[in-house]
Amino acid sequence: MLCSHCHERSASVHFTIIINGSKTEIHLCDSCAHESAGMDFSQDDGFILDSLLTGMFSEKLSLHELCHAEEDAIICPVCGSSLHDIALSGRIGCSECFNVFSSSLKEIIRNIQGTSEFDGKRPSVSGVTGWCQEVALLKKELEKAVRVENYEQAAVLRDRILDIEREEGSHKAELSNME
Amino acid sequence: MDKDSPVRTVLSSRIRLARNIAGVAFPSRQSEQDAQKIISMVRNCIGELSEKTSQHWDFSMMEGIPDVERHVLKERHIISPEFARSGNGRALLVREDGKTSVMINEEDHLRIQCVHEGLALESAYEEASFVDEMLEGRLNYAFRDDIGYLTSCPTNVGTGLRASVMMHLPAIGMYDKMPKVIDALSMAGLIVRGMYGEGSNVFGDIYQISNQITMGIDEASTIEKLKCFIMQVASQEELLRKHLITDGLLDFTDKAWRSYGVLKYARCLGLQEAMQMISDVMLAVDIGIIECTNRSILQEIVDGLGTASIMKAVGDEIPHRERLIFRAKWVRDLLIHGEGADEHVR
Repeated sequence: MLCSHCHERSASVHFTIIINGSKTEIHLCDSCAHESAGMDFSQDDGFILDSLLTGMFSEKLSLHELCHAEEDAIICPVCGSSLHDIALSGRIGCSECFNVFSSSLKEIIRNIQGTSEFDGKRPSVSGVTGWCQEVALLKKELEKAVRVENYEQAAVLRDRILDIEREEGSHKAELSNME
Repeated sequence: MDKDSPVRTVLSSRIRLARNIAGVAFPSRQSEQDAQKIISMVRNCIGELSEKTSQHWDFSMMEGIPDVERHVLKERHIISPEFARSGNGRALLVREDGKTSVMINEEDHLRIQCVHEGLALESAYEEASFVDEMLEGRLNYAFRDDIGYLTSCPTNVGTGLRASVMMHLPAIGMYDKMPKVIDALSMAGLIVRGMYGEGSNVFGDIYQISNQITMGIDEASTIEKLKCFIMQVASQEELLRKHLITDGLLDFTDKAWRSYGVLKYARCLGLQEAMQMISDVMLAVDIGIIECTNRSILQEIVDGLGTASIMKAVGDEIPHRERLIFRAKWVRDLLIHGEGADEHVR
């Protein structure tokens, strides 16, 4: 199996990416993976996906294209990253980036992972992070309420979620999308 | 490992969890102070970690670990090649049994990793998760309930989980079915990688298979899905091994015994040839051509063949020729005596 990139050497790494809904099989040889990612094989195979991020397959996916214009001028207050920095390096700077560049990052994640919906374990410790679980549950309830058109209940749930998030002082509410 | 066990083709299983602390720049953007801050935050957890796991944990700053030692850690898959090369502001926590470790300030603040022998994804996950939950109780993890665990690379965001196995697939290779297997696995969203060599030049017939996606699927399902495909590949390998037996074994029998002979008596051994020969012998043992009472010795050989491991066993950086000689002697000792390899190589 020849390398998808150089078409010269035999591939040793194989995976599939989904871009705009269509599946593409990618096969890379050691050199191309190294060249595109700028690093050796990581045990974690992060480099493979690095090659996507740094535009190796730029005819198919460019991080810059996925960024939302309104977030272009923002600089992250914690790490100083701009969207341009992130798109160029394929690396996010800190946790706060996910708040200030929320739309663009979600778009990027959606394109790379096929979805921007999280489904997995949550920090279970109550206190600093335990509220996440409560908010997640409340949001599910809110969705249900909206679906069955129980807007009174939805409003109550929405207010409760806003209260918690305000208390914790953390990320923006996505609730405006629900209304 | 029981040679009749149905998943003897899986050599090891690995679980890796990527985690970060909120409010501090990730390693790609962090200052030296940031790096030290993260390190000391994690160091403060060691006491509780040791207590809760009832095991001692070794802490080291990467800059304090000599080159050879770093490369041994890399060969043993305890750290990534990138981490092995790194400079300042990085640290490593390793549990005393060597199975679980935490890389600090690699690509993310924390990379929790657990490796188990054979197919043992769930138990490796349990152990990694235990450490994860203990640390999360003391540290303020970067997490959003809509996106999940926040990581430096968008390819890890969500569960931050990379589950992988190393499989030995010589029969699939012999019957030239590897391209088909690779196709099926990659279309299923799994990453397949030949561990040694490239493409049709893969030697040792050892492959690493891992999940690719960390969003939209939970941890248990990720592991379940990986396991499901692995079992199918393992069945395929076992089926082809049966064919190998009925298809006339002489060619392979001869090859395997020659490999065994060389491993047992050669005076010089290169890494690549040794890997291929060990692969032949492992298959021969599995299908009953060569008798071996202690199969774990073969795994030990696989683990210790690398350049760095050899140099560490010698205790010095030695030139290429010397390594060939030492490697040959080390393999001879292991095979002839069944034990007693230089303990430094472990």
